[in-house]
Amino acid sequence: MKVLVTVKRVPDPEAKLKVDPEGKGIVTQGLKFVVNPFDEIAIEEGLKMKEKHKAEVVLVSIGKKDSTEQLRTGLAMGADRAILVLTDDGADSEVVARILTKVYEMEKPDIVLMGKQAVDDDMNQAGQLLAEYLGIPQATFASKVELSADLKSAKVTREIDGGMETLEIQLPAVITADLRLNTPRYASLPGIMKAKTKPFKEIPAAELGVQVKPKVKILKLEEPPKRKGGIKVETVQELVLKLKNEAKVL
Amino acid sequence: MINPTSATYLGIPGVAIFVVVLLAALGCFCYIIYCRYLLLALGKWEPLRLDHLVQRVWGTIYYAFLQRKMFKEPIAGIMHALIFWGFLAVALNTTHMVIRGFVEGFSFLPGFLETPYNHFKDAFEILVIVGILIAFYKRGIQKPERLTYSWEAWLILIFIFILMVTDFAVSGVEAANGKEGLGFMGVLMGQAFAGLDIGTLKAIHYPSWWLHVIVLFAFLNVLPLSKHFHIITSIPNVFFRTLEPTGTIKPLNLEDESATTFGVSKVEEFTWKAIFDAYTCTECGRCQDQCPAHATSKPLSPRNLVIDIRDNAYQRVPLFRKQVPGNGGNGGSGEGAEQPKEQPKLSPLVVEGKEYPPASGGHTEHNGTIISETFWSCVNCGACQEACPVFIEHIPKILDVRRYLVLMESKFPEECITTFKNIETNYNPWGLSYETRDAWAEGLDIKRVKEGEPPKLLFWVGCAGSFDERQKKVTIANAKLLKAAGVDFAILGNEEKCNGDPVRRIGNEYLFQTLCKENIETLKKYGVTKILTQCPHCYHTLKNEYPQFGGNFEVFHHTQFLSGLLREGKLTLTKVTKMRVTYHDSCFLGRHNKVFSEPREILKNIRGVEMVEMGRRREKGFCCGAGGGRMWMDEKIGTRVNRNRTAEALALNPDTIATACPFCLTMLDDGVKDANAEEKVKVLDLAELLVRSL
Amino acid sequence: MGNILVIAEQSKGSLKKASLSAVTFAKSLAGKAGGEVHILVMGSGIDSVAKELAGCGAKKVWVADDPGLKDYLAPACAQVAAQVAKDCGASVVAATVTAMGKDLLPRVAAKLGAGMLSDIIDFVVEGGNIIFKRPVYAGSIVAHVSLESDLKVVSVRGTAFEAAKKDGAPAEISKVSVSVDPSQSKMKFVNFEEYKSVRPELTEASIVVSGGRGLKSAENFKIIEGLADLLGGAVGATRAAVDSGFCPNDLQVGQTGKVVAPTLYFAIAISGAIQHLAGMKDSKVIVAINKDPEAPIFQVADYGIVGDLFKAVPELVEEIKKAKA
Repeated sequence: MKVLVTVKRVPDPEAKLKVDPEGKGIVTQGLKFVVNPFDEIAIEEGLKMKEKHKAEVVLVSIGKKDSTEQLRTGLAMGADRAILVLTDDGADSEVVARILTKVYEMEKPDIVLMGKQAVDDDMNQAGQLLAEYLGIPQATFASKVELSADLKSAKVTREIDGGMETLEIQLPAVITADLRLNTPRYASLPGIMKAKTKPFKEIPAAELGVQVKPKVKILKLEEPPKRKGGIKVETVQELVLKLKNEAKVL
Repeated sequence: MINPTSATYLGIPGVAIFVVVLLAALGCFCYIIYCRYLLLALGKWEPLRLDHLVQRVWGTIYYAFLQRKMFKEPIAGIMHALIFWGFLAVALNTTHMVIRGFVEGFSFLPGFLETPYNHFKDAFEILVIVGILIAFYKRGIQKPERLTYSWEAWLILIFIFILMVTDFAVSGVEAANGKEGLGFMGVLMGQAFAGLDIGTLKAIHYPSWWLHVIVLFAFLNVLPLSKHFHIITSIPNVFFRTLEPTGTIKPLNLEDESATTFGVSKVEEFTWKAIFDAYTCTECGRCQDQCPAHATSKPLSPRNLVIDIRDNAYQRVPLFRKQVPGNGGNGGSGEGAEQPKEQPKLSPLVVEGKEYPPASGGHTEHNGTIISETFWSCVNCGACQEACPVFIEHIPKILDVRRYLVLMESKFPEECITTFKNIETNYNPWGLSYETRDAWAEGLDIKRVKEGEPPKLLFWVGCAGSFDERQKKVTIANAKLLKAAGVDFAILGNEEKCNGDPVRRIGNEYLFQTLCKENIETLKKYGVTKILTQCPHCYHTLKNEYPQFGGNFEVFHHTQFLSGLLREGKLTLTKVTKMRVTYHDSCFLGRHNKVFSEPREILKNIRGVEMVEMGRRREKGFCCGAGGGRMWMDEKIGTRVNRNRTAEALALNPDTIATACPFCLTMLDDGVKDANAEEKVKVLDLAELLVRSL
Repeated sequence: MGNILVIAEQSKGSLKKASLSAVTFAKSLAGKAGGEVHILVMGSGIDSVAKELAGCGAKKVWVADDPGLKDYLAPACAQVAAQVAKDCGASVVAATVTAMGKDLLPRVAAKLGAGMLSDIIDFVVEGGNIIFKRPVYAGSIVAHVSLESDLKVVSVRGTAFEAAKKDGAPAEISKVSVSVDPSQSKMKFVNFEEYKSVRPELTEASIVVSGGRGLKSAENFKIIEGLADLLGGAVGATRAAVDSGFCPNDLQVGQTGKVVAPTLYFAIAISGAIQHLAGMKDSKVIVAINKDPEAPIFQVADYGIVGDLFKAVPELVEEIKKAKA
């Protein structure tokens, strides 16, 4: 059994981001990068399948060479192989899904596990696009995944508005991970050491023959108005007024 | 008066019997000791501690011979001292008795010392009997919780009693037979036996003598089989004790290419000294009595931990049986791997678990297997090591197992995953953006370090001081005090990273070494030589553990520094604040680094302060519960350590509880709120108390 | 500029109100860039939904009513939606950001070969171009983006566009002929378990009301619940409150509990210890009520009241009721 897991390099969610002088990107000087938290959960789910069903876990990332760091983190957790599709140009969700289609054709996994969204662009599209391009089932916002005994289908419980929905999907399929699916493990020292020598392939995006260019164009980034310093109010009436008119949350 | 060995028994000469008994006993003893040695050899090598010889020798005299630590509990101290000193005093007599089995009337002493020695010996034998009687009382009637109640303890007490009594009997017979120069008890007994015919005398003499030597040899052999092994090992153990501050952890060589595992998961992965520690445990339970985890019903009992390690170790080199293959031993026969017919199953040292099944009796019945929660319950406070009369080191053993669990298996309390990741990415346990580390200093005109201009004093703020709103107030108080005293200082700003104490103590040595080396590089880059900390954990780690990686700095805790400023008159306190204060000793500042007086000096300098002391103070201070990385773990078992300590403080009716540590501050503050006493009692750092009195 | 197709959502024969936000967006876009507003609704037995949608000011309502569409499954619905988009000459396809919207819309975009933008909060039309605004980096930055494709698919944030009201002439209702055979699908609906509590889930709620140690008893925790229910928010608690038994531990917010980032967070009788802050500091607006003026929570709160919660919260409830009336 083979599981393909996507890994994206994103800025540390705790970092205080600033828009760069050109206004189209963020300042990366001194910025810490991590594995997209939802992708970490996807990796963990893949590792659980490895432990339970002897699946091979293959990681794939799309980006520049510095995404190597995030792939190594995944390998240290226990994944078997990593693929880095090198591209210098920005890729929007469609380009990502097209590239993943090519990787899918290369690897022919039984399941594609992805984080439900990347915490930088918060698009929440790539998994669904990929599923449609491949014509396979999707189960998004998964909070529980159970594979059938014959490993040909999966029961996935999803978090949707107002409750939990359970679907049964035939494999191969795309499953995107939500927060409560699992708690990602911490890499052990032997894991970190082994990660340095696990198979790691770099493929330039051009070699995959993806013709599509990004359709999303970022024109400007702006920081929302700075939060005013906290103030103490004397009366509840004043508080409600401010919440209604100033903060606009009531 | 015939020597018992000169007589014949059923045709066999007494000497022959004696030789057989002697050789059998010594042979058996040597075999057991050899097995115990093999077990030590199974452990990892660590160099013999031969540094500071004078200090080591003096310590051996003070702690081992003078029994100094035992007197913390007066009655038990007297009891044990009498037995121990009696043992030493009588040793010569014992040797004489054995040699006299071959050479009648043999003595090492010159004639004129014979009688004085006999009086001396008799007096001590009385004292030993007093000691034994006290022991009978403690073990049979008082029954303190800390003791283990085994039949073997009674056996030894009875053996000693028999030895004393049979010696009196033999002396008495000799006196009755006209021998001169015996001790006063011998003379007394002799008077009691006067008038008995030779047959009766023999009937008393021979059995007493044979009983004495047989019990003596039995005693000798029981030693390495029981907790009384300490009789042989405790003096060396005191000599080889660690001279470093308690709670100082040795580094792991993570770059060792040949290492297949790190930390300890099997008993043979401990060093020989750790196994020797386990041999030396007298099962006295003083450590258990002081342990905050045990006091709050956690699975950890330091006493049981050491006993379990010992029991587990003994399984590796079983006595009177072929060695278990695969444990590294040489099997004895040299014939290669031969499967013994009956293979005792080796218990694992550590298993996952949160609770022990209820044990029967007082003695631990874990068969040498310890559940993992035992190791996680430890707060690293060192009260166990402080209490231990034979200097067993509990903390390093616990840390060694934690290191294995964290580094090799990645099995540790789940809450710590976030802590580790936060420290990895943003260098503080809460994961707040590292760029905001010095936000507290905004608008306060605090100097930052500059390359090429080594700072006179570096104020190491620490994570709590930088990010925790409550502790930030202490940081600002310290900054104000330093400025008021005209001290020239600088901060590292957001180049300061967590010193690594939480991760090292949870067991993540790899992450610790990364942080440590990065911090040392930063400190050296700016030419830092003197560091001022406001957190005892920063203090302890920077001072005692950073030198392991080449970071040698002069480190002060703010209570030391501030009390120094007061002494030098650089701070003038004008305000009078009437308050009733009790000071809580932080384990990492107090017990580990012996800083007790400076914080109290600060309080004495504030006018209007009425200081009251808690019962468990200074070296006997009770932990707040946050040490050993436990600040980052959930406390779900038993009662709360911090509530236990807070109750003790509140019982004194203070209006202020003073602390010198951000963890203690948080834990006691929480404790006060839990006790609904926050209206009446405030918890404040000493720096805050000082700044209010400026 | 072609037409704008809104995909509306229904559940068990009732219209999901959230969909009306997308209708407002569509009407606004049509007003600025031209084109007609069409609405598509899919399901089984949805006549009443179609009628309701027909009254919100769209030109035409397309109804795909088929037993095979009783349970929402992405591939089948995407097929229908893509077909309708083509049939109605849409150049923009929109839906509100809901679980279904997020799940379905990208597949529609893929089928149409259209570019897609998620979670739109605003837009402007400049010289024939539509410039959308959407939050990125968890909302800490707002991006102005455009789509370089003739066909555009967008999901819109419900709270950014008011629900469309009853308006104008009723739309034409047109039945879409569909035949969906669920047995052909590689996906099967198994079941749906509704959340027991009427309250929103803590980590998803946009308003959270949390209580701390200062509540003193489990009985008093009802004060927190009352305020939460009035605001339609979720209930949270600190570790201290949970440990004291005031409420179950799945309500715990903090470093070792749940991490939340609602639009509005009430911290009531919570001191603001760093472990709790780690779980809620990314809330957009934080309101603190605490009787200790020195409590650390006031350092992170946008608005704070120093006072007795037992007086302040009932007062707050009254004031909010008045404001809502």
